[in-house]
Amino acid sequence: MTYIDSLSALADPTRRQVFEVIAATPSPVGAVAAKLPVSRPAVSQHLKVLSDAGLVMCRAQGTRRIYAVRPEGLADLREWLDQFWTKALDSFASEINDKEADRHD
Amino acid sequence: MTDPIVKTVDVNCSAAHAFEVFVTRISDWWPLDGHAVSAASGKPAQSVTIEPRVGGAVYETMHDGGRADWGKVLEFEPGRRLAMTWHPGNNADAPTRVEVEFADAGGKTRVTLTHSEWEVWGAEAAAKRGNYDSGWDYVFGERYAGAIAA
Repeated sequence: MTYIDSLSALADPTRRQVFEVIAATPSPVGAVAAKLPVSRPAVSQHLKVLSDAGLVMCRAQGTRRIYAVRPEGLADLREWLDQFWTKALDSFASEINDKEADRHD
Repeated sequence: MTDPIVKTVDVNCSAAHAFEVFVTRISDWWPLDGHAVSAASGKPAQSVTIEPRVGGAVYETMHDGGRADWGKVLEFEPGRRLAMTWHPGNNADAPTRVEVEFADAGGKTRVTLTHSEWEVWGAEAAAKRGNYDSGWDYVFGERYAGAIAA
């Protein structure tokens, strides 16, 4: 399930920083590493996890690989959260309204 | 910044009762089979607990009896308002915020849930926000209208 992958991927504080850097400016690995107190290999590893979770995409620009946020991944997360609360509150209303209806029967 | 997710539902009881059911009977209505950390392993959670005080824990008791923290209570005003941090399945250092307000509405109670600060999970989520607005109104309105009329 995508949203669980997304939540897990963003749970790591350093990985979230990597994500925020490329969300602000699509960047190659080296540029991300230059902005954070994290080594290049570590940034690469974080980007791999974010890519696997569908949150980040990579495109080639000449010989460089540019990482950017993948909007569809975030949309999935947003949509899931929205449905999450719809279902939860729907269930809450049913609990009360059904019991109230029973009382009036 | 991304606008918060806001959901509203009317229930046929007093605000005090609605608050009571929301907090102390949450395990009776919460979708334990789908909306729980436990559900990620295919088994429903046993229960959900909101400790009824400011600073109280909000947590799930998983299928195996283990505890998964979801957040903590920030504001607790019985019959009126509940606010908590919210980070199920996520680390506590990046919590979102959920507020639930209970307001008298002519013999019913209007319950408004606001989930904000979730955008820490995605800086560009705002770009997609507009695409969902109409869908939410439709789904939410249809479902709730149906549930209340039933």
